[in-house]
Amino acid sequence: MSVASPEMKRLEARIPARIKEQLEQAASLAGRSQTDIIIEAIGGKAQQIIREHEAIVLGRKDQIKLAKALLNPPKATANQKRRAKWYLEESGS
Amino acid sequence: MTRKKLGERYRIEPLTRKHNRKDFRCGVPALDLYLQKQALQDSRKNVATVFVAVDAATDAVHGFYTLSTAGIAMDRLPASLARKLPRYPSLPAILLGRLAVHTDAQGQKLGSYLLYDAFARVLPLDIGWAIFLVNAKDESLVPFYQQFDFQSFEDDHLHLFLTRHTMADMFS
Repeated sequence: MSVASPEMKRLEARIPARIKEQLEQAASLAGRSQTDIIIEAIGGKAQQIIREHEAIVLGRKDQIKLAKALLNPPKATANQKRRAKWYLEESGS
Repeated sequence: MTRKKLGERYRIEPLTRKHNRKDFRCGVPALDLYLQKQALQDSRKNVATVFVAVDAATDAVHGFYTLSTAGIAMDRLPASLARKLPRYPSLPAILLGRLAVHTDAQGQKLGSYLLYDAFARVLPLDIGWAIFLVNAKDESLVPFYQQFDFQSFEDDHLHLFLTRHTMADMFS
């Protein structure tokens, strides 16, 4: 059984010589490729920034699911209605 | 003695500097830290509104939630679906970014009460929004939202959603 590897894209970036030297040193210390270290570092940082900005970035499948829900919104379930009634009673409104 | 209703026990009001934030403990450190360090700034900068549940007897903060607007990028849809959407490529949404209940107040359905308080607050707004999104800060918080029959995504397990239509139908 083969495990599908994620789609890869190329990134080119100029970085200060000092950072490049650190990257080489880190890679050799950790016994890992420079690419691995870059992926780990920027992946985490990008995720953190996205989170901080509460930007909602959905993949294709999830966008399709949302679009379909919007075009054909489900009725409230009995559970949801019962809870709404409960809320209105508790809040006294 | 009859139990007091949650609406009598708690005032739900916008967070101000007068609320005691430093004693808030809900069991999720990130949420405690948010209320203690970040929430007031966020509401001052108008990037989120923060509502707190204040115990009417003691003025202790026993819960909070945050609301903000969000745009959901809809840029990867097949053309057949995209054509049918009114405001492609971005959908206006309300985001409930955080919701937490103090450990002292857990087990009284205050979390459910706060969630429905948020629904009741945003539903009548005269602004265009189509989707109500919640962000579970980690996997352990997902089951809480599932009790309310939110729809889940296939890949993004930390966000769940309801359409405005579905929410309106709950109260009809």
